[in-house]
Amino acid sequence: MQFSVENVGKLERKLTVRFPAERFESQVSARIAEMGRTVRLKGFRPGKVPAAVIQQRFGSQVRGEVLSDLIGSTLREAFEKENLRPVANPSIDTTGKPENGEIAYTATFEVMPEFPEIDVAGLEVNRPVAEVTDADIEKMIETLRLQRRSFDVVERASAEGDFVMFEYAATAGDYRFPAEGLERAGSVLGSGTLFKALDEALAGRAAGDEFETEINFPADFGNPQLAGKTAQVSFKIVKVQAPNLPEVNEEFAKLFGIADGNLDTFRKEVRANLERELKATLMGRLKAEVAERLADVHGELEVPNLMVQSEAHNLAAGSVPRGQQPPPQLIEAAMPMARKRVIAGLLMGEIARKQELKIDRKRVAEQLAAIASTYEEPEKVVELYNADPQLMSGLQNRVMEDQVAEWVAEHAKTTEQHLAFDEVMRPAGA
Amino acid sequence: MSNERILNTLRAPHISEKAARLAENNQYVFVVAPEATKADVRAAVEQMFDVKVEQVNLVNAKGKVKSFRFRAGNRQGKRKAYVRLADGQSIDVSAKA
Repeated sequence: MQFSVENVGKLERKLTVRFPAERFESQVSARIAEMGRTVRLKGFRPGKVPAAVIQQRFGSQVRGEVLSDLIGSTLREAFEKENLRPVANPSIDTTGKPENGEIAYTATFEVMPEFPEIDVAGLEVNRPVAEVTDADIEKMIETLRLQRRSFDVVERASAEGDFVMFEYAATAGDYRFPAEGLERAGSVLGSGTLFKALDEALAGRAAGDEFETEINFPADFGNPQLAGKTAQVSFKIVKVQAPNLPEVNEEFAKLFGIADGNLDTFRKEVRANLERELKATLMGRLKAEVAERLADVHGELEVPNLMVQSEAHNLAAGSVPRGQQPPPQLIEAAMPMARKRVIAGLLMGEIARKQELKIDRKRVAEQLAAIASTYEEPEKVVELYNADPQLMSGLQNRVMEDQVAEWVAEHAKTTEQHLAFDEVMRPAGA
Repeated sequence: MSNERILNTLRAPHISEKAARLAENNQYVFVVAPEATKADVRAAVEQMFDVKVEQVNLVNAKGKVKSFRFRAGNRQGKRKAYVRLADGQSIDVSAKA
């Protein structure tokens, strides 16, 4: 077997391989002889099919198979000898016909870029740090109470936080909604379920009240006929319900799966939950930060086009409904972002290789337990992960990325950025 | 002979161990129409495969008698043609069939 490598582009390589046709022919005849023993053809007893007949029937199929097998094995051999690391499957071009007793083919593919020295120490990484405080726990419990509140019918006039059920009809010009009768709706005052002007109109009314008023519908109202218009609206209040927040007591704790209803255990459980979420979010932020910095520093790194394209495709696919092809301009728009991600991903992989970071079994197990604990039957989830190599390797990748990010953060100029819990969890709302 | 008759003469290549063995001796086996004559088969093979036919032998093979629920029935019979080609000529049966 002979081969030669040609550099087409910066990362593109063209590999021409020749191997003797005898090697091909002998494999073909071996395959045909083997088929003769197993194949069943009408008109022949099993095992009595002559080679000539098989050749005639399955010849081209067998040849194709043998050729692709041989190409695969010789290509692997060539990659090993030349120390090439192709990014994706090479595209093969061949006639498949022997010439001068040799069969030749060319493989075109892209290789991994040569990585420059990755200077981690020069990176300036902002590492977000946060802790769960007692105040955060109280806040969380407050949110939980709000989720579990019940509503009781009251006779008094409605106030902020009350649930008001009402019937209404809106008239704007000669458009009336609904066309006839009344539409029933409900709103928790002040929660922003419906728009503000409506909430104001509904405040201070008791059940049975009937009144009419002018309301400015907001421009983004769901019904386009009313959106942005001023309408005469007649209301009829059906009922007013006051919210009833549950007491933080044993009953409440039991609602959340604390069997003995011990409030301390409940608090602990809430804290554990918050801490787990916080940890995951912090890790995600650190990872994004490290990736960002790496990509910034090595922005000019030559990366394989194919990878960028597939990443861009993935990114674009995320913004259209599942199973639909993203439009080309979306893919185009995603290109710079995709490039950045590919660079960061490659560099992180390279760091892991250079530093010989090993996947930490314990961390994988921990992560798995964390994922599983959010499901109803954690053991089943763990089983599922253990049984499915694809899921498992996805998980391992994530852990590996975590480890690399941490390693980078340790070795770079890291400034710790102290944040409150809320700022971490809700960066946009903070 | 009309074109239609030629196309109706040859029904299928007859595939069997015997036929495969004979193919090495330049003899090919076809299932032909029951009313076909040796001349028909010769003309049909020469025209369809563009070869020179040396000899045609015809055989009528009766269908087997099979009984189903004690009732005798007959399978269909067939008429086979053993066609010997002139030396150095061949037919790729599976390619045309």
